[in-house]
Amino acid sequence: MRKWKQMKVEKLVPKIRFQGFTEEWEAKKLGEILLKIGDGLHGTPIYNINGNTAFVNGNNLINGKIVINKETKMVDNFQQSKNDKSLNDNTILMSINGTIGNLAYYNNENVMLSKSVAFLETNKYSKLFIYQLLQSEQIIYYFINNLTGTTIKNLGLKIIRKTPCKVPKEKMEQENIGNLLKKIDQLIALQQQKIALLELLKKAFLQKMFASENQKVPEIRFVGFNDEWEHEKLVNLGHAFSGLSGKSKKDFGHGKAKFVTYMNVFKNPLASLLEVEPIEIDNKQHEIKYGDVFFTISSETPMEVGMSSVWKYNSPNVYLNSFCFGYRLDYNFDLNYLAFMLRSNDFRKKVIILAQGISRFNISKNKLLNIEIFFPMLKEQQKIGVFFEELDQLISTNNHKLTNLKSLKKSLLQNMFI
Amino acid sequence: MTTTTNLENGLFSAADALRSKMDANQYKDYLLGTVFYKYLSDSQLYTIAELLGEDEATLTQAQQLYEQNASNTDLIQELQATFGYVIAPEYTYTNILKAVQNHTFQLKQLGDAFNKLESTGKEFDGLFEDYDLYSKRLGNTAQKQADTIAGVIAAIGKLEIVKTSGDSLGDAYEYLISQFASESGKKAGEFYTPQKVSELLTRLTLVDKDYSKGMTVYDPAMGSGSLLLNFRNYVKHPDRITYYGQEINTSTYNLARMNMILHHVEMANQVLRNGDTLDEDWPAEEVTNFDAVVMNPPYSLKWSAAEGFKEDPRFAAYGVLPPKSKADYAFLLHGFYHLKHSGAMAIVLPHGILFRGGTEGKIRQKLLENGAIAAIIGLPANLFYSTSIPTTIVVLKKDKTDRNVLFIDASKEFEKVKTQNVLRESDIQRIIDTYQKRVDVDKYAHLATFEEIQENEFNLNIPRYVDTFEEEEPVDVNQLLTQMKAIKQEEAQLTDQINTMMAELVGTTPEAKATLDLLKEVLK
Repeated sequence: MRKWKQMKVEKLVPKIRFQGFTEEWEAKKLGEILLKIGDGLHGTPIYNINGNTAFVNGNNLINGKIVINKETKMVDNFQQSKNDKSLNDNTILMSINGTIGNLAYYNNENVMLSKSVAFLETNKYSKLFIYQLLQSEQIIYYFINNLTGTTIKNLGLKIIRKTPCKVPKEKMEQENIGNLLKKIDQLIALQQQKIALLELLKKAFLQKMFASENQKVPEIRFVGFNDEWEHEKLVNLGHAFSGLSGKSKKDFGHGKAKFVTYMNVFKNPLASLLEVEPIEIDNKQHEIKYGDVFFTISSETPMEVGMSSVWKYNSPNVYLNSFCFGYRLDYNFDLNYLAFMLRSNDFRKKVIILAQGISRFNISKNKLLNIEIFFPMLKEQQKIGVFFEELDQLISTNNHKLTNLKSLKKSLLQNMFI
Repeated sequence: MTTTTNLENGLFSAADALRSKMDANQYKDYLLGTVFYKYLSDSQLYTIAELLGEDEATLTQAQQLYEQNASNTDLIQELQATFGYVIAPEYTYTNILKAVQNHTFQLKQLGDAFNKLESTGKEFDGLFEDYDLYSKRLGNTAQKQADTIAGVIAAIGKLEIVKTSGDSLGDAYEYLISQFASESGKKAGEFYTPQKVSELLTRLTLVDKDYSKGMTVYDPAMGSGSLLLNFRNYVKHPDRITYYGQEINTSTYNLARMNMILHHVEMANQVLRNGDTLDEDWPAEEVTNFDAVVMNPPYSLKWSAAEGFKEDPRFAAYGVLPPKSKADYAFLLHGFYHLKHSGAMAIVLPHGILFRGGTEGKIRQKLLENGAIAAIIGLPANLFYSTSIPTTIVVLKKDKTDRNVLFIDASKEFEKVKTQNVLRESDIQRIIDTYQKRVDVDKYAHLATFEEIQENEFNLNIPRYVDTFEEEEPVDVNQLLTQMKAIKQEEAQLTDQINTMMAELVGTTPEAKATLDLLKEVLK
């Protein structure tokens, strides 16, 4: 007689669940737990700028909401009814073409769906639960393995219907899970808004705390400082030096020296010590020093030319990339002040006017150094510098918090679904 | 009546027969040649029907009428007088199409038809040179070649191209050319200046001018001639325009000739030449004073810049020659030399001519010192099929009494249509109005004095003169505070609610219990 090896039966329960629920979950397919699955219009509607109905694509679904932007095309109302998909309060929208899996609740907005948006109508099973279920690793994994299309990926409606999933039998348990994760989503959204507001706060101060051609003293300044600000052309305060020269492709990617990358200069008012690349030590190159300022020379749009960055490190054998030039001050400036002043509205405006070029825009080193900068005495510079640095730190702390909240959500998704 | 869109689509799908066999630059000769021949033939047939009192006749009916009346010498004379050509009944497009439909079509029939027409007069001489009926590209055997051409004739045969509204055949021709331009990329772009840019150049040279008694226009790099033909739309008496044009490429030159005929320009009113504008001055002996000079020359073309050109009257006054690598100023000076004292010239060039140094800088300075530059107009990027770079229009005059230059930054005003940017009618109107008024317009135009230009070392880069910098909106501090307060409050509430719910969670395995204990701490 043959002996059958006894199968170990995995119990269908999640690792973490709400107390009071002990029953096993059921294995289902998405097609079984949803009332309706369909997609939008295949083809192009007749657009009408003055129409009152938004023609919605997958990329209009952002963080649970339908977001209408400048690029969104409008259509007439009657076209909407012609292609009526009977969306209602129980409908979840999901992107299925190009970007896959963006979700939004449908809240009776006046929209017409394109073929890149699927509508999923719920009834017996909790809408909140299904919305989160669609974000769980198991489901996403199944979607990704079953995409069609080469450059533009597509998730077929058939695949969605066939997607296996595990669901609690009790609606109460579904609701609880959906509710908790929804609240965490809200917290994440709040955190994002908070960061945007902090950026705005910083912008408000950047607008008001620097003197300019028109205002010899700034609108807002620290208490106790009353002197008029000085002004001087950059060329009279220091001298320029060039970035890496005489290097070819093979010289990059190895060596004990480092060079500051273009993006590092472009992005950061204060250059980062981390965004550097290796290169061989070469004493013919200009070694950068604490307090040096870098400017990008060329860019794709005039608005982005001549971006500045200040180097606040004492580190040997660091050079500057060849698409930037350096500027070394002969006088003592507060470096934080310098960094933010060079990114202030007034200074940027003077730089942008100098941009010239055809397909790319360049800036002349001499012209840039001819720009006049405004500055107060060192003590006031220091105050302003520290203030903006702290504002930046506050923003970055909040960015970290955002990352942590997203990790929390991810961990719950991993543990609360099967 | 056929609408323009149908005509365009019809023409474009007629190209299907050819598209698989050759690239756009080659099949355009077949397609445009066939359309042109059909146009000549159909115009004649409709006129015959009208002359015989059958205004409503179809082409087939007109063909019958023609066959019945072919021996009527009065009719033939009338045709000769009206058109300058007479296509015999057997060679009409309609008759050839019939042969195609009856499967009796032979290439010889079409070849003979072309030959007959070409021998009619100077006007048609060599026009079908590029229409190679026996090209291997059409097929390996004579039969296959005939089949391909028959396919084109049948496809175009379905279209009504004479009784169309306004200038829709001209538009459809433009459309085809633009399709060739986008299909074969840079190569084909050289013979096509987008309609709206042509319109702008034309209108700029007509500001404050009255040419009701007639005028001469010259395009030294005319391509398909559409820029020249634009003048018809903006003067009172189009029939009093005399067109001068030169084109280096023979097929394109032929295209321009067809274009002239399609637009009913009399032979007496056109002087077109197939030749190299930079190499040898032209027109040298004929009229050298043009009321309007317009051009969209190839950008930054290499040229010889030979020493001898320093003696050339076109360049002699400047003491230096444009660099070998960039003929931009050579084209500009050529056109300017041929401009009448009271005339106006408008030329499209890349931005580099505004700020490059070297001999170009010297020529620029000289032109500015002479007060020759009336306006510099920055155009949006991506207006042309051949290139996406931003371009600029330079308007030149010889009778300006000051040395001011009007700068217009029109680079931000356009409509995006698919991948191209297109000037709207309102954009063109705004440029023309501003050019006419010559006064400052905030963030758009500035009338710069000679001193200002001198201070900028004769660098004409537009941002130095027209400030288009958008001031940042001041942050609404009130709103900022309200929102921040609301967020803080909501955040506190949510965190409480989440922590309460998380307290109700249980782990179903020992590891899960440990994980959960940590998770519960995260928001505390």
